Amino acid sequence: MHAADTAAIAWWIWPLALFVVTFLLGIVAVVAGIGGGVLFVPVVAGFFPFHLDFVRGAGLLLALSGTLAAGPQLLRNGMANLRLAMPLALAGSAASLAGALVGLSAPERVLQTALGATVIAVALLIWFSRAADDLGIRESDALGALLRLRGRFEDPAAGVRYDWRTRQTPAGFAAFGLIGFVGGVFGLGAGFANVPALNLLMGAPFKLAVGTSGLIISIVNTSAAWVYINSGAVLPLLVVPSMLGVMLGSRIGAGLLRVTPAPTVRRLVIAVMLLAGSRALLRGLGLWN
Amino acid sequence: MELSRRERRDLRVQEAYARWLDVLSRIAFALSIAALAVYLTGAIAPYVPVARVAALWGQPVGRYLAESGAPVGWGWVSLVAYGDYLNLVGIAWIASVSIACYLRILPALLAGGDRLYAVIAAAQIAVLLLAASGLLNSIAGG
Repeated sequence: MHAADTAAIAWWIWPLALFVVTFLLGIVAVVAGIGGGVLFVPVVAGFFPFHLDFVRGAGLLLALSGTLAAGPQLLRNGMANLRLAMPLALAGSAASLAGALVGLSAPERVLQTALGATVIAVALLIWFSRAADDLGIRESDALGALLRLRGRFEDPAAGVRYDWRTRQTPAGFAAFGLIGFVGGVFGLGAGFANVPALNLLMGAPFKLAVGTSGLIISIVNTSAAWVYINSGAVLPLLVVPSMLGVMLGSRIGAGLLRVTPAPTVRRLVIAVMLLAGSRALLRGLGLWN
Repeated sequence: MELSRRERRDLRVQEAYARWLDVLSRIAFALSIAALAVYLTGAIAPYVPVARVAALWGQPVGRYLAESGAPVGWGWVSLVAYGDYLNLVGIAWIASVSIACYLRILPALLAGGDRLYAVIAAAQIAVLLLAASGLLNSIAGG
């Protein structure tokens, strides 16, 4: 959007619009099972007048606040596992710190182009991701055994119990390092990538992977968020309405989860991500300003 | 199902982490909402007027800082008497919750003899404190 167009609009419209949009993002993200952080940056960077620096700072805090709010319940009801989260979060947060520093020093055009390509890739990842519960892993790998990354997970909804243990733990560390770096560069919540890494790569049951992913985001995003705060790239006028919007939306979304056709919403989210990703890509290439 | 001693110890650590996470994040959100209300109602004057923020929010952060006179690093602490920087208290609190939770479980891990996880927790605290310190921003010129 051009500066001349936005200057004609009263300033308070934008935080209000941000609240409404993040409220809707919170609903669809929960129903689609992807977390709101990954939608926020491409949508707000593409269609709001805020600079990408501030949008990324808000995106990190948005994902952080959502996962902090959900964390206690996930830990208490066994849907997240602290022991599984801790080593992976350490790898992710160190990489995320580096990613945030790189992201804040990279030229805007390069960032827009890379953001567009990343968001399109994420949309395709969400499209093709499948979930698996009992992956039949009976032996831990050496690192998984050393860290005792195993346990029992009870799924009350399905009425089943899994004895799980991780496999390919070194590859899991590498994956969380890469995910953390990308999240730091672009200010994205990383549930879209954490869940397949925990579930399909490392063999954690799907629901445990979803819950533990949230806990990991709450730790990983903390390091990148501090880089943005210390750089002055956090504007309360953007951050607080976004946090409140997505938290309220997530609560409504959680209530709608049972009655909403999730595959339809998932397709809608993928379409929005492809649109927002294409917008960022074309903007970065100077083809749609 | 009977839990082993190690499993019971792991559960106690997880419960302690959850308890602190719960209390600290509730305080964070309450602070954030209260500070935003103060800011938007104009009850306390902002350091950078809202209209000025709106005129500059489309600019890169470097230009925003140069034109608004806003501080970097921990410089905001001296400005919390202003409505806009009061909001940074809630935001900084949100970004400190995980550090506090790790500080809470570190002694429990040590007391339980889980040295490997105590080292992981200590390393995590070090990474997050390094990020919070702003030292790397200074080195990177951010």
